[in-house]
Amino acid sequence: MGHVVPRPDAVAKVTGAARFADDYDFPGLLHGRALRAGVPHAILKRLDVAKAKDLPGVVAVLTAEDIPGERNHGLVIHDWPALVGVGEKVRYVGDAVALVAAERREIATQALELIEAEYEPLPVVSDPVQARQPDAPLVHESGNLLKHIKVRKGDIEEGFAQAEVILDEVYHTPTMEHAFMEPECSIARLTAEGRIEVYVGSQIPYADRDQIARCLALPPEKVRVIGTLIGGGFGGKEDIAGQIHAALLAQATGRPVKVLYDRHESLLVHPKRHATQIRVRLGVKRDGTLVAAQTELYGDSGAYASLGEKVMTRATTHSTGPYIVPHVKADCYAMYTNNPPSGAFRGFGVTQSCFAVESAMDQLAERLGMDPVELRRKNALRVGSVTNTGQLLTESVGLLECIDRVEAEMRRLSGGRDPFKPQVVPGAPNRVRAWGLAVAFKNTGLGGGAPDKASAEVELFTDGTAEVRTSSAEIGQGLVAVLQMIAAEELSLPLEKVRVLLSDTDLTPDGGPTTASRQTYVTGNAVRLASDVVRQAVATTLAEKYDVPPEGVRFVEGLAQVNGHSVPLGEAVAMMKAEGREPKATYEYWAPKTQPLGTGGDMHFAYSFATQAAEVEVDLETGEVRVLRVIAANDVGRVINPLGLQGQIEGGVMMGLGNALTEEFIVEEGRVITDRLARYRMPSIVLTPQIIPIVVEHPTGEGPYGAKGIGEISSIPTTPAITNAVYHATGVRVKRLPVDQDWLAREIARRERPQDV
Amino acid sequence: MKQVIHLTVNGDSHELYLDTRRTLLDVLRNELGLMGTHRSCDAGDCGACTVLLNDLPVTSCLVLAVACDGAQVLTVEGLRCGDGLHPVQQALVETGGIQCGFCTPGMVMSAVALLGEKRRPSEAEIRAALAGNLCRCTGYGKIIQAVQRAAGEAT
Repeated sequence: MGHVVPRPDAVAKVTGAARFADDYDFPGLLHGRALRAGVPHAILKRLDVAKAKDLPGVVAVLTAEDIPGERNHGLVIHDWPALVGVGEKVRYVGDAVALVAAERREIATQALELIEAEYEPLPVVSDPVQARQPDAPLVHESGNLLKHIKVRKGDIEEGFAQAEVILDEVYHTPTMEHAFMEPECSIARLTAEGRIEVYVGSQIPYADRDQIARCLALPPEKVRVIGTLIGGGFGGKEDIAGQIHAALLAQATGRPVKVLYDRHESLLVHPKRHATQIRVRLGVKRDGTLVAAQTELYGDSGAYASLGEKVMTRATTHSTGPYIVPHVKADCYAMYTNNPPSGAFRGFGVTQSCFAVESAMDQLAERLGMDPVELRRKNALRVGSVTNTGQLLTESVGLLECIDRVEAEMRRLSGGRDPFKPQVVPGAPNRVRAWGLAVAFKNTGLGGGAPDKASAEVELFTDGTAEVRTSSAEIGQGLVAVLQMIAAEELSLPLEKVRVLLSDTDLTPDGGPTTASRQTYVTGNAVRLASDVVRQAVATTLAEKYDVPPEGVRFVEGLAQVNGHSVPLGEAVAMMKAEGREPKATYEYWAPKTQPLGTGGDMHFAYSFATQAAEVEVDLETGEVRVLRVIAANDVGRVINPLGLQGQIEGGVMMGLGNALTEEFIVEEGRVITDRLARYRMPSIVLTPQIIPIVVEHPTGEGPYGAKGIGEISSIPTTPAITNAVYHATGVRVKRLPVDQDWLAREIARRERPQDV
Repeated sequence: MKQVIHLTVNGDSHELYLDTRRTLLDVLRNELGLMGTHRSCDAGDCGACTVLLNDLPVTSCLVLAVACDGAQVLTVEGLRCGDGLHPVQQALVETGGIQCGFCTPGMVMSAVALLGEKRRPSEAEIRAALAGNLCRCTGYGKIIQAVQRAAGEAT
C-alpha cells in the first residue's frame, strides 16, 4: 500500500485501443433516437408518427403506449416517464415523447423531424423559491415540495440569545453541468435465449438492470447490463439515460440498437448539480466561539426526483460546516421545477453549502477582527466533537492537521507577509494578489440509515493469477488499480498477477453505486475480505497436506511457504481443485450501520476532511481573476495509490476552480441556453494553477488499511478558497457564483483601490 | 451528392466513395473503424477528435472528408514508435495524465504536433498548444508534466 501504481488501462487509453460504448458495433445494428419535447411544461395533446414510420430506412417508431411495463423510472422515486404519452404532462424540455430506430443515424434524425407533436403550454415554474409559493404552477400533482429536510440540535433561540455577534447572509449557486467528455451511449440487443443485453458506461449497473426490466416487463434476470469503459461520470451517469430507450427499441425490432446522445441532447437531458439559494446565520461569542448556526436552503431539483432528496439532505447536514456548534437549525426545501432534473454531482450538495458557510466564516472573522484561520481552528471538529446531526466523532478527524499544514505552507509561500492582505504585482499596478482559505468535510458512503454494502468475488487460477469481480464502476477515478492493489496485498501476489473485472450484472456481484466517495472503502473492504477467505482456503488445503496448522502457511510473492516447502500459488490452486475445493470466494461486506437524519447517532460511518488555500491575481481594471496556486490538504485516512490520489486532488481542484470562476449552466424559464459545450465555459489547460497537495492520514478503524473517500472532498473547498481570496485582493465579497468578470470590475471600480501594505 | 476521394491514413491509402457532407471524424470511425479518435462535442469545442492532417492538428469533427482528398492523416492508432509507445504516450502513462481517457487520444495528437514543431516547448507554449483539448478529469497538471517529460525537459 502507498506506492505508485499506474493505471492498468493507461496503455489502452493512450493508444486508442480502449473501447467506449460508442466504439462497439454489431451486425444489423440500428440507430435509435428520441424526440425531445423542447417545451418546459405542457400537455401533450396530439402525436402523429405516421410520416416518420413511412420514411424508408425507419424500422420502428415507439410511443408511450408501446411500453410493455411501467412507464416511469427513477433511482429513488419512480416519477420520470421513459416516454410521455398523449394527454400526459411534459415537465421539462428534455422529456422524450417518441423513439425512432432506423438503419442509419441520419435517417433516425430525419424521422424525428417528421413526427408531429402538439402541446398545450402550461405556466412554467423555474425557480425553487418561486416553486414554494402557494400559487406556483404544480410540476407534479403531489405538489412542488420534493422534501423538507430538517436538522435540529440544541435550542436555536437560546443559541442566538448567547451570541455577541450575529452574521446573516444569503448566497446563490447556479445549475452546473458535469461535462464528462464521453456523451451517453447505450447499445441493447436480444440474445438467442431471449434475454436483453445492454452495453453502457454506467455508475450503477444493477440499478440500470432493474429499471430496464421494470419498463420492459421482464424479470431482472432477463436483463444483462455490461459495463463498457466510461468517459467520465462525476455523478452524471447514475440515472437512466438511453438504456431503457435502447432496450425498448431492441425488444420491438429484434435487432441491436445503439442510442447515442449528441452533446446537445446530453446537455439537455441528464440531471445537473442543483442550483441553490442558501441563507446562513451564524451566532458567535466575541472570542470567536460559535454558539448558533441557522441555515435555510432552497434546492432546484428540476422536473424529476432523481437523487435530489439525498443530495439536498447532504447539502443541509453539511451546511453549518465542519464545526462544533451547540445550537443548530437547518431547513432545506428541495423543490420540483420545470428545469432539467438535478441529481448527483461530485460533492453531492456539499459543494454548494460549503461555498455558503465558508464565505460566511470569512465574513464573520472580519466582523470579529479575527484571523480567518484562527476562527476556523477554534471551532473545528475534532475527535470527541458532536456534529450538528448528533454524531459523536470517535476517530479519523484530521481537520486540525489539514488547517495547520495548509496555513504553514501558505505563510511560507507568502514570505512572511500577511497572505490575506492584497499585494500589488511589481511592475503591474493594476494587478493584485492575495490568498483565501476554506475548510470542508464530506461523508464517505451512503449513510443516513441506508444499507451500504458491496459484494466482490475473488478467484485464483492454476496459472497463479487472480481475478477480482465486482459491478463497481471505473469512471476514471482509478478504482481498478485500488482493487488490484488490495487483492495483491491480501493474496501476497505481484500486482500484474491480479486482473479486475467490473460492471457486468451476469459476471460480477453487486458493488453498489459508484457514488458518495464509497468505492475504496466499501468495495475495497469486500475485495480485501473475499481475498482473505480465498487465502485461508489455500492455507487450509496446504495445512492438511503438510500436516501443519493453517497459521503455519505463509504467503510470499506468489508462493505459499509451508514446512520448508515453497509451493507456487498456482500449484496450490491445482491441489484445491483436485480435492473438489473451489479456489474462489464471494464476500458481501456491510459497512457500519448508520442512523437516519433526526435520530441522532452515527449518520455516517466516516468523514473526509480538507483545507485549501488559493492564491489569486485579480486585474482591477478588467475584473479578470487568475488562480495562481492552490494548496490542498486532504485527510484521506490512508493512502492506497498516491498516483490515483494526486489525480483526484488535481482534477477536483480544477473542477472547483471552474465552479468558482467560469461555469454556469444557463436555463431561462425552463429553456436551456447552455446547449453546446462551448457555452459552458469549462476550464481549459490555460487556467491550471500550480497545485500543492498535502496528504493527511488519520486512519479509520474499519476502512481498508484505514482509507476513506477522496473523490469529492478534493473539490469541495476550492470555490470558497478562491472567492475568499478574491475578497482579500479586492474587498469585493462574492455571494453569487460564478464570479462574473464584468460584475467584479464594476464592484472594484465602486471601491477605493486597495493599497499595498 | 457523392464523390470519390483518396486518403492516406496512418500510411495506408484508401479510395473512398463518400457523401460530401460527411466529416473526417465520421469517416475515420465509421468507414475505417479507427475508434481511437473520439466524438465528444461534434462542434470543435473540445478537441477529443484531434488528428493530424498533413502534420497539422485539426478537430476532425469540423473537417469535411471530401476536403481531405489526397491528404495524409495521422490518428492515434498510427503513432507507435517501433514496438513501443510514442514518447508522449509513454510519458502520459507514467505521470498519470490519464483518467477516464476519453480526451487522451486528442490530447496526444495535439502534443505530438507541438513537439513536431518545437522540440523543447516552454510551459506557456505547451498550454497554448493544448488549449483546445478539454479534459474534465485530470486538472491538466500531469498532462503538462507529461509533455515536458516527452520533450526531455522533465525536472
